Amino acid sequence: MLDPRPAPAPVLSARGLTKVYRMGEVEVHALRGVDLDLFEGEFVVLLGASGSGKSTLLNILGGLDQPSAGSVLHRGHDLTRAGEAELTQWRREHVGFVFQFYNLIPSLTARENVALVTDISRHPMSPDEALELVGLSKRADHFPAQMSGGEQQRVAIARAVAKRPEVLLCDEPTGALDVVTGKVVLEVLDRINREVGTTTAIITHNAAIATMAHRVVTFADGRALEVKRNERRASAQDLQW
Amino acid sequence: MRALDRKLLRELVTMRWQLLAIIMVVACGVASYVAMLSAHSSLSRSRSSYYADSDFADAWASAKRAPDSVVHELLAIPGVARAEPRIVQLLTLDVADMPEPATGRLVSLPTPLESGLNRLHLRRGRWPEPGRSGEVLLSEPFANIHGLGPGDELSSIMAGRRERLRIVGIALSPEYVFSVPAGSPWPDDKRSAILWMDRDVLAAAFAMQGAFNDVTLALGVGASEHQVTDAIDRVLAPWGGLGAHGRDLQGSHRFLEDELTQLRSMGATVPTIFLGVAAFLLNAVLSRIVAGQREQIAALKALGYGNLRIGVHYAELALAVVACGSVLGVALGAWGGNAMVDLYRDYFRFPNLAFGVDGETAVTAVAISAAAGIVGALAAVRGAVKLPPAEAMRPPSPPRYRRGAITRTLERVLSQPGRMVARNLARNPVRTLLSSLGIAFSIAIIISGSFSQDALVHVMDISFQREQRYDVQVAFAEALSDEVLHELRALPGVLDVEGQRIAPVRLHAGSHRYETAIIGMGAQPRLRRLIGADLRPTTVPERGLVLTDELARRLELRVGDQVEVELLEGRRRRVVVEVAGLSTEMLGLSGYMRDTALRRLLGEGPRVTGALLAVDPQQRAALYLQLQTVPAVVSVGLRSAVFDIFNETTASIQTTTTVILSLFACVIAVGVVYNGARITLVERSRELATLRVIGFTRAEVSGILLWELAVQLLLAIPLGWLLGWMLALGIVAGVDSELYRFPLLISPRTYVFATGVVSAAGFLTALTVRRKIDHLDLVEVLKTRE
Repeated sequence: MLDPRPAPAPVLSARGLTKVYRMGEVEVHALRGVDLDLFEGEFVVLLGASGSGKSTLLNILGGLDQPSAGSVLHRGHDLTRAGEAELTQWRREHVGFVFQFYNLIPSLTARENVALVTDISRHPMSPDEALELVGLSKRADHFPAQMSGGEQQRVAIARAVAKRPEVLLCDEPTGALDVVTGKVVLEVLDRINREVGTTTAIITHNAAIATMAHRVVTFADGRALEVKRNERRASAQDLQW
Repeated sequence: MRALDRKLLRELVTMRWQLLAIIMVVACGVASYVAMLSAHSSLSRSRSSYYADSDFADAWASAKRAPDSVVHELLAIPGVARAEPRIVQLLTLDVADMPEPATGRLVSLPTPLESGLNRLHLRRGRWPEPGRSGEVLLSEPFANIHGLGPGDELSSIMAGRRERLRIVGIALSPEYVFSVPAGSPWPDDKRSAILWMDRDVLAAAFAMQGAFNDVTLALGVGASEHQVTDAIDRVLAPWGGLGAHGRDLQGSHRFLEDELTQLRSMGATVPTIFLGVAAFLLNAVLSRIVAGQREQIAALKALGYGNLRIGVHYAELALAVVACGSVLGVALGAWGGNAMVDLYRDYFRFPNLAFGVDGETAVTAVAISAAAGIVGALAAVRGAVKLPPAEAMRPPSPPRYRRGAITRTLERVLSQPGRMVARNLARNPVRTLLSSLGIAFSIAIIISGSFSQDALVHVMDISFQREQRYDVQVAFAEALSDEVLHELRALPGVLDVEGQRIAPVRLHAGSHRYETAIIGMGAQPRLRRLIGADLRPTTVPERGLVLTDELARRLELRVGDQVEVELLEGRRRRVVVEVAGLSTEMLGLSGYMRDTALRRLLGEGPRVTGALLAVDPQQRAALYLQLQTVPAVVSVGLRSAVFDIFNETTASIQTTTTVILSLFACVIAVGVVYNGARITLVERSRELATLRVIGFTRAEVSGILLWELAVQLLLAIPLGWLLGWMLALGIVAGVDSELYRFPLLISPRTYVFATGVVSAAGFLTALTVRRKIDHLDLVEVLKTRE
């Protein structure tokens, strides 16, 4: 189920990914042989119901989890053979994560949460630049507890993009937000994809979001069932759910 | 088993290591309480029954020589129930297995034998036959050390004649439960013996027929000890009375009393610290559990569980910990108390010293620790009970952080992780402070247990380096012409001789009075010097009295003040003398005068009651042999013996104390650090996992946790030093300053040692928690809601 066109080299490419969990006596097949490429500058939505295996895929792509079988190549380099230290390095240099529940550090202000990443990466933006990108320059000195959920998620996005990652992996980024706030967050992700050119993969169960992607991969039962290319991408503002 | 009980049980199992750390703290508290108070009551019980069984006297007095008829006058004093005259003589003993002579105290036996006050406990052998000369009973500790028993002989000079003393029995006396030889602040079972002899034989040997020089008395119920001893003094004054005293000044009783007091006060202090720390830890752990189980609490309430049942459920966890700690603590305490009593058997000679844990002590210990557990659980349980179900269903609002003045200043120098550390500590100031306080107490406990070593070094330096520079001290039975010094000078190996005139006196200053001795010495004494406040030797002023600084403090006297001296020998004159100086001393309380001035006071010529000798070490053995042939010499004391005893007893007790207290302190440190780190880990696992996900290494993430600990430790160090100093101050204040003073000196080494032990324990504990961080399940943690 590969994209048929000869496109620019993939940033990440997964082949035959299988993941089996043992939960007591039961074997859970979270992934059953998934092939997927993420190309430079692409905005991909991974669509599926909960339990479809999409989160497991994202965790493996991001180096948080190891597959039971199959491989993940980053520009030809096999991540599935990487050790703990190398995976940490991979996350530190190349991947930005955005989570459903933001995962901001409550004891750090917005700017400091971003600086947490810029302090340890090689060619980062300044924290203020990253906050500017998500439209939160004025909230830079606020703590998470002083911000709304949408604002917190935008800080999380600023934190993820500040290192200038090659890939931005977002797990249900609007899952905890209302429609209006969710749209603002998606707008920010879209703008970053267009302006900075960061390869972005969003996991969601919300089909409406799929219309703003270059490509939509639909998941069910641990398999990528369908890949659909959107001829015309909808803008985040136009989404309805 | 009901569902809620099952939940409790599973949680106990899940949190076993954390709870075990708290159980150990509770156990240490209970154990120290049970051990010390049981040892206290065992000692105290043994003493009471021993005193009661043997009719221990209430008052003692001695005189130069009083006719037996004076006893009737003593019996006529209101309040005196019984009076028992006896003869007491000092003598030197030649013991086969020791080059130096031992000092013996020869005491006459009452007639009939098994009557009277301070009845002896015959351990082996038989009583001396009345009228048969040379038969003696020997004190058990001395006999045991030298392997002597019935049938063995001792050689001694009695009243100028060498006599063979045949041991017919071994005995214990309530007067010498703790045997402290005259002139020494420590017991020396090896060099001091008590011998009992038939009164008529003894009287014949020392020309004391029809007379006595010592009397023990029993007082009637309700008698005023003070009034009685005053009356005894008046009766004995014409006979050279040396001042009567009650049990409080009886050597053995006084040491025993001192030890019991110390046990009691330690038994109150140490457990308080442990149970306080346990209460804090229970509070911290339970608060965390309640916070983490908001939804469960809500669900329980929704299902119809009442506030009381839920409150009890969480309190049960605390009580379970306390119950385990108490059981372990009582067992440990029984073991420890038994070990303590075993140790006491070497020092305190009771016919029966049985150890027993009394039920009351154990029950009190358990009750106190249960109270500590409930106090610890209270706030957390109240939080669980007060939570409205609807609110509990929602996740708690994110913790609020602020930039306080301190963190604002620190921000300039801190990295982001550094700021996380600073703000987290500042956000929970009470918890941070209590953690630091817990760690501080463990530092303080080690300091309080080890500082005495530093103080002892000082005591030794003052007493045995600066002050006492003689090798041998000899005492005479009475004041002799100083011609005797020439005789001593001629003995083999004697390099220097200094005569001493020791005159018993009673000092009166305002409402204070104190019985001691004035020691007459030359202007520039070489072998027993006076030390000034600057710790340098000072000269003995030509006129006036020099007092031990502590004695002046007790009598509220300063240099230049007048003090009334009542001489307790001769015509018992009372003279007013000026305080001319103070001397810094660690052992005993005395007065000093220039020999010429003391002679004027006593109205006598150049006389001495004893002498100090500097001896050539090569010729010691020869000297000791010769000394025993000098009839005037009744006791021989070695400076090195006192020094060694001091070193041995204190060193072994000291090492044991330091090891035990260090272990105790480690239990607290481990308990506080482990629980603190585990709680932090649970509360912030999401945060730490996030850091791992965005690219922080394991070392960087655990660094945050370790830094939080390091900051708590840094706060704890000065606090621990201060608390240690305060505990040491309490201990110093508890020492009987008449016997010896314990300066409050804590060396940098002790501070470093205490800090090092606690830091190491804390650091190792933190490392075990670090392994948990290394194995954080990143995926799982991120899925959970805040």
